[in-house]
Amino acid sequence: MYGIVVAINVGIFAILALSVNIITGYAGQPNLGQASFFGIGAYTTAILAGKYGVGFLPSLIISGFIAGIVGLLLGLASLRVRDDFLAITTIGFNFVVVAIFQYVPFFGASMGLSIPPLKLFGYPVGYVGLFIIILLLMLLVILFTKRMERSWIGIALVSIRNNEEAAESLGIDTRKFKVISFGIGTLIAGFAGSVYAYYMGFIMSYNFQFMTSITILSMAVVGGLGTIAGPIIGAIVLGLAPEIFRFVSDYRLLIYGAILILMMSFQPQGLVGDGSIFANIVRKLRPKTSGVDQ
Amino acid sequence: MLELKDIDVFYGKSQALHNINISINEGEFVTIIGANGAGKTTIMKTIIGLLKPKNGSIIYKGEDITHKESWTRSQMGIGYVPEGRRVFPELTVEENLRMGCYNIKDNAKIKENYDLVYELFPRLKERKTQLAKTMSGGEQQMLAIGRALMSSPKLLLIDEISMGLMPILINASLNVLKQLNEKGLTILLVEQNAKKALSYAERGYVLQTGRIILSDTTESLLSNEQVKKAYLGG
Repeated sequence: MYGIVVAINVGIFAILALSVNIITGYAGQPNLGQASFFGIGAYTTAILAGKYGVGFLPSLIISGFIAGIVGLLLGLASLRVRDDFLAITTIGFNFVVVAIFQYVPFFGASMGLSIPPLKLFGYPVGYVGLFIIILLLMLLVILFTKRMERSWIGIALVSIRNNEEAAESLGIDTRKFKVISFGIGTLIAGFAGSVYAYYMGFIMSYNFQFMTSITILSMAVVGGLGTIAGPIIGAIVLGLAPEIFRFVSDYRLLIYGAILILMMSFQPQGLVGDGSIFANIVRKLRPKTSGVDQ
Repeated sequence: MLELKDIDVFYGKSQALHNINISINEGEFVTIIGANGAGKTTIMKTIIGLLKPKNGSIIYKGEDITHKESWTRSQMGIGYVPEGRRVFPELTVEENLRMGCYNIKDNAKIKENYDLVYELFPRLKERKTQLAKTMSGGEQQMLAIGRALMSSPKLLLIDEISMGLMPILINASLNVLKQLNEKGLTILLVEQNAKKALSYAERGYVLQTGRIILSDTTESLLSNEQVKKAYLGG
């Protein structure tokens, strides 16, 4: 029972870390407000399922799309700012969203909102079923990211991250791709939010505050931005740490902050990113396949 | 083909370019020489649209492009090789080239451009699956030029071809440009290595602290006392 709850938590955060990875990892656009889209997804589901009795799949899909549309709008509005200003804009957005959840009666204000237990085809779905749904969702996100990686969108995003000016001068409408990355990344966070709402059964603005955004980003950074395995590994490591070491839970903010600083200084590519200690070990173990060398 | 009229560019409050007038005819190989900080890169970024002039206008093929975004200018046929060989380090050689033909929808044309680039730089073909960051400086320079050529440019802007390259590679790169120019590509090269640039181009401008101080055929510039003293080492 306890194990499955932890697994669900880690799974949801793995999806979230993969979602911020599209925006910050692939497109290189700082986003410190990903929890707000997680929250928009969760609140959409809470309203649809709790107030209007909408079923699981429609709630899930609509929640994703509403988060994605808000993400697209934030992406569009943020085109004028970049780097640290974009980071600050996303932080600000997170506070605004949390404040709306907290003060607007329609969103339950300080009372929060409750969500009816998850049912599929008339049957109640327990924690195990929920975990399977989360794994499926994660698998879809992984497959999608893999496909995207070597598609036009994927390589355009990397080109923007590597050198925005060079990308522009080659005729790439960098604005379009930045907005697309925001749309995709926030859509996925919305899906995660929907599942989270069902899992929790009760949500409050507190669940989606800035600290949650930092947690999500830390996971992606620790594992390795711009990779697929990275955010998942980051979510597992940082998700399990508070469960294994109680003191981590008490000093979560301090420890995540310290990890972010240490990783940025010594292993900016994350645990599994290209050129990291781990990746180098793997490369050494793997036999050479190509005859071309420096 | 390209005309810069009374261009003023500012970085915040400080003026980087003063009243720049440049015109390039179709098929020409033109160079702008100048010392470090003279404003060479600023001119290039202004032409491709990464910087917007405060005053003046840029006319390309009879059309005013002063307020067009840089990706639109690229679609109109202006290719750009940025300073310091700014290739995309985390993409492979082939992906770097693919980014260059982003706006070409005709597959036959794309294939033709790949063939052209690979013929020009066989080394790139050998290394097409390699990440750009793992290549040497000279190879990255080839890739940066190849990437710009993938967009079938009519006008090629090159910012410092000599930077960080061995002399033998500088000559090789310039020969490639000469070859492309003979096939009809219009070229604008800004260069700190004045001697090299002037011996390959047809016409030159001399840029000093943001102002064009001389403009002539490269032949006359090479024999100009002022140029000799300031840029050709006496």
